[in-house]
Amino acid sequence: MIRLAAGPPATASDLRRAQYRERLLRTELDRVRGAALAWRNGLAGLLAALLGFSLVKGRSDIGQLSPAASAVVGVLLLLALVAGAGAALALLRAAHGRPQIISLGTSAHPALDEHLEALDSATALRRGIMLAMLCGVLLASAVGTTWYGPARAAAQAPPGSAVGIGRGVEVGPWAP
Amino acid sequence: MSSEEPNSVDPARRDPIPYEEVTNSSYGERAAADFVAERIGGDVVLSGNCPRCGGPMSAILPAAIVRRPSSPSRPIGEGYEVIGCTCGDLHPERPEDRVGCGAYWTVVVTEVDR
Repeated sequence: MIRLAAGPPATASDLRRAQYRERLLRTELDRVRGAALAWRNGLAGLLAALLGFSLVKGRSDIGQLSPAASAVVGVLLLLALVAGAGAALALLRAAHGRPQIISLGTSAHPALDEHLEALDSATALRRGIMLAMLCGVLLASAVGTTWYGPARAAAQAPPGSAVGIGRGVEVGPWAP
Repeated sequence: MSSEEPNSVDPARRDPIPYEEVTNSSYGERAAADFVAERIGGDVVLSGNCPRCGGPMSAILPAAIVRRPSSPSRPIGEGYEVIGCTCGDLHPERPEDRVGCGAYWTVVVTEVDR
């Protein structure tokens, strides 16, 4: 239970504080939406530039990798896809809200609706930024694995043939 | 800004009082007696009629707010809270970036066990 009592005489400084808080609350949702739009566009542009201009590029043939390394690359790419999708959804939710149908009776308080939505949107924005960063890290890890992962072991030579150890040198059975 | 005697609020009055940033010791007393305080989550909402203009208003005392990280914050319940009129009534001479009638006062918000 909350009890109210008269406070000390208000000062001009108190008035400015009240006006500042009121202005923060009134503009809170618009500021979060604006920030979310800017982050969404910036991160989407960054990822598009990385992928579109081939700044992040692995080996063209990952068949040269060992099966274990190939599996790691696959898992990393799958996780990057999940993180990227999560980031996109979170940033869209922060920028545009979520269509939700609620009963009027379940609304917390008419005066609080925008404030609570602003807090939820800010949380979604922070989550979206973190997931987008995670997506970038996972993509870089996948590309790094394709470059530096162990190569596939040489295939076992068929009987009657001698296989060189040198790069791509193979000597087969003599056939006149 | 100035202090003025409390107006007798007449709900039937037709001419809205002009905007003026004023306070009076009686504003806080009347607000403390008449306002309803609700805690919703971590926030506190005060609802009632403005002691100066009589317009219905709500004041939110948020536990958290989206703002610059460097801004200092003070928990609700420490010291006193400043409330300004936020009624939706039309008050002449009100600057564009302001709300309410301009009245402001302070209240002490205390959480008590039942």
